[in-house]
Amino acid sequence: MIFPRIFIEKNLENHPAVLKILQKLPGREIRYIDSYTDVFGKVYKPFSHRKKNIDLFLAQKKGSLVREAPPAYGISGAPHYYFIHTYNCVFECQYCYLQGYFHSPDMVVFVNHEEILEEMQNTLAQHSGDVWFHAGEFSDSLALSHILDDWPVFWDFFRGNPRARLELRTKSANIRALKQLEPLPNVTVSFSLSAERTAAQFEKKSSPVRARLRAMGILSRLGFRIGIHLDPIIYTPSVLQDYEWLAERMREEAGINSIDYISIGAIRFNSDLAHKIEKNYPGTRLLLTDYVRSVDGKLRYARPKRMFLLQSVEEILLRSGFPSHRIYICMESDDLVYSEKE
Amino acid sequence: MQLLHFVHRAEAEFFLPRAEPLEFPLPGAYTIPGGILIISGEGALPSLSYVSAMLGAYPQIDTVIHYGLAARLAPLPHGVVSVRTLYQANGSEPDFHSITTSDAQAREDLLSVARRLLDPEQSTQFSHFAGMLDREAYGAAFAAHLFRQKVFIYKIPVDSVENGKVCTDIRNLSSTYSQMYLEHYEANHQNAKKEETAEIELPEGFYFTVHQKHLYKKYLQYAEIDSADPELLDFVRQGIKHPKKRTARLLEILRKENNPIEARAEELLDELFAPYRHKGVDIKLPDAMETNSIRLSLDISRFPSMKEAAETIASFPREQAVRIMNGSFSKL
Ligand code: SF4
Repeated sequence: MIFPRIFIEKNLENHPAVLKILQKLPGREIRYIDSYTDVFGKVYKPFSHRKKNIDLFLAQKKGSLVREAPPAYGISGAPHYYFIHTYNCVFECQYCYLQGYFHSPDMVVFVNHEEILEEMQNTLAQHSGDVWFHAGEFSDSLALSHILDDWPVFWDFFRGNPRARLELRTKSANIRALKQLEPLPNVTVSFSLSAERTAAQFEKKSSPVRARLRAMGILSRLGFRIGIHLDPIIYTPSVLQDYEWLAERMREEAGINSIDYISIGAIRFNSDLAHKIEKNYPGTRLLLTDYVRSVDGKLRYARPKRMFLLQSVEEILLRSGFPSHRIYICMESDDLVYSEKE
Repeated sequence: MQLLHFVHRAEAEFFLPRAEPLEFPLPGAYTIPGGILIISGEGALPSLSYVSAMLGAYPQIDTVIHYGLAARLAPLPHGVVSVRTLYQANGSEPDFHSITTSDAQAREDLLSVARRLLDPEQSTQFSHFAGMLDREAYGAAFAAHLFRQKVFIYKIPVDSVENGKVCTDIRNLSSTYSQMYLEHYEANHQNAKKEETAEIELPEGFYFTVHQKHLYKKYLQYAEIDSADPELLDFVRQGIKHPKKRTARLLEILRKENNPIEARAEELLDELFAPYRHKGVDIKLPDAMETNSIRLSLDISRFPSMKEAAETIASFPREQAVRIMNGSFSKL
């Protein structure tokens, strides 16, 4: 059973979002607490606890709700922010930086959407052009969307604020809730895609790549804007054939024109995450290969290898007909990527 | 060697017929087949002290096994329950740190408290973190953790804290519990074969340092093979005499096989640099090729004139080298 225990902050007992979620998750043990911080992250709950079911916390997020995104987060030219509506994820990607990030694998859902939207409005007012807001920095945007039912309220905001752009980032094919909403020109649903065998090996519990591709196709035909993240690219002997296959499927499913952008990134992590991966997935193939510490301190494939992969995948996309201005390389500092690229 | 830890003598009852008193400054220590048994008495400090003392005195101990009772705070399976993670609370709030036992299959958590818990509200609060409560297990696990030894914590969940009363049928039943511990121990630890450490077989005629052994294992695992190709091993053996040099060469070959893109870049750079190296130019690439700085050094006396030395440097194909380092080379 997903979420056998639900912790609810006492002052949210009758909050409409909480009641809606409870309706969708009947038969759970409900516990009322003063604040989610009294329990969540209070003790170090190892990531291995995910093997048994994780708890759900329904809470109110305090402090900053909208934060500036790290550099190279999205298409350059516009300011990028991410907003916090959930902590942790029901999927289990071995390379995910969330493992152990919050000292607990339990999931927290923040239901004070109005305050998040208010902060978005204020952020938008600070800029004159388009402003991007990304969901999914600390979770998957769609995995539980049929239970949380959180996007309609955001839709109202984005419908009324065409300058604000929303990105919902996902490795899920769960588009039930989205299909109930009308496509908006300033909302992009972005799918993270990997080579099929890599996904099967390292992205446990997330939707299979073919299912993600199908979901993407359905949304695209319904008129939704689509984004794609080919990130992280993980080397296998068949990596280039696998990405050729993927590029073709992307083209078939969504078509060239409904895809707003495609980001490409090679696997990378900091040493702390590497230790966590080693602990949480002993013997994983992910760590059997060689990494170097690049100039930004992150562990990456050696430069010739990762740049070869990034350029080769970029070429594959270009050959498949995706225009170059919609392709960007993610999270590589400029001097690493383009210094010598004519 | 194992260290079995109990809190009460009655709980160890079924183990004692096979135990012999151990000469040790602390009372309640026995030798048993395959290890030592200790009875520490109640509380976190005795438990921590006893287990630590034994681990310090007997470095052969590699596994600590604790058996005891725990107050049930949540619905739990019946019988002996293996603990997954232990927390502790000295006051009304649990401490941040936790200890995870060596039982990867365990599913239940336990909180060790300093004092017997009589307040139902407090027990509700603690039940957010763990389904069982005791006073001693964290101490035993902490000592094992400190000495970096394996630890298994087994509990029989008994009372629940209700209306401020703790049910106390424990003493009358301790003989039954002791028998359950023994049965569990025999099934899971006494007769359990020593886990086989997945050791790889090192090829003959090579000398491996610990680091090289680790690398060798990693390369084989990545290639999903159990041992290197015998033909390759023979090739290296025949070509190189010295066992240490053979190992270095073998690892280099395996590294390149697992990293064909890097290997290709290195090969291209070697080709590019060959004429310069031939002339005596020493070429140093940046660490892991992460930046574009390439250092050239040469011994001018090896050149007929300064002009030729300068021309050699001027003709160095830096841009081509950087392009290769930057992954711009044709497909494999
Ligand atoms: S889907 Fe995203 S957030 Fe979820 S585990 Fe995978 S990488 Fe992490």
